[in-house]
Amino acid sequence: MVKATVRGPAARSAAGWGRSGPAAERAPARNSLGPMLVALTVALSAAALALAAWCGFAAYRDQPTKDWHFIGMGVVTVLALAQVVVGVVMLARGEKAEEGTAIFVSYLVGAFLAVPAAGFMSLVERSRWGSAVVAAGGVVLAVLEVRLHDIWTVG
Amino acid sequence: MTERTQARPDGGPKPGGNKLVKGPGILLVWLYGVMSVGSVSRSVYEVAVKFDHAPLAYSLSVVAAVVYCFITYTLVRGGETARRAALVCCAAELVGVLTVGTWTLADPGAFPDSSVWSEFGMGYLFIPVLLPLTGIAWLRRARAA
Repeated sequence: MVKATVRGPAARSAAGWGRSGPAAERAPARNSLGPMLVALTVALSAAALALAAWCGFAAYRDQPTKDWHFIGMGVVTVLALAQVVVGVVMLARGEKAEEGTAIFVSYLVGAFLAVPAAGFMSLVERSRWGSAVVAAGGVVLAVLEVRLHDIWTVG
Repeated sequence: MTERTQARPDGGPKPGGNKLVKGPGILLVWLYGVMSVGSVSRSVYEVAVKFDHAPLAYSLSVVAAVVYCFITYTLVRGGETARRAALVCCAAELVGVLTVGTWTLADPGAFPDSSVWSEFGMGYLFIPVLLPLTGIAWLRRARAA
């Protein structure tokens, strides 16, 4: 609750690590994961929406998902995996998500699974509707990322 | 799960007509699947951790979760019986969303915390109110096919 009022890496560093005073400001390098999580969240949201637009366009043109689409899904999935790792490491280091660890972890896992699950369904349904599923998956992932950010910072 | 449907194409009188996961149906299954996962995990957490805070809202979340899971299951299973069951459930879902949505607006005091179907599913981009309409349209067309 206190953290909701303080923003930025410096504040997070002081609040998250129990260090205060000049020592915390002289050693910001040790806590570089907070900005990294934000960067990953922003990158994933953008990538997910791009994937959604791309596959939505394929659905519009009456095409199934192709190899390039799967490479795109792979990129998004790798980003999501990196987010899971960073999130878990931050929890392991003792930082707290505002809405609680259980919700944070389940959203991390959900975000990681959304696009691969949609990808498998598009392998089963080789028509424009398979592409539409991946497009919907991208939108779902983007929504999950927004929620994830709220869960970590706002509460 | 889809393989099971394909493994027994003789599950009904019309093999081509009762596959509910073909074409647009797959998108419906995906959206219902997402709603199932979302509402189940949400209601499990709410009931386990803080049920006393808003018993009515959380109980209604459980109802929503059960409905979503059942519809997802019937869509994946396919066949005429499943199609009818799904049709009934989509109608029940629509009634549920409209009732709970109106209820949350008319008597906000009864809901200290929100439910899945609060404000007609606004927290889920109104998907809860759009999904049953799409579902009913698709299930009716599946019979015609």
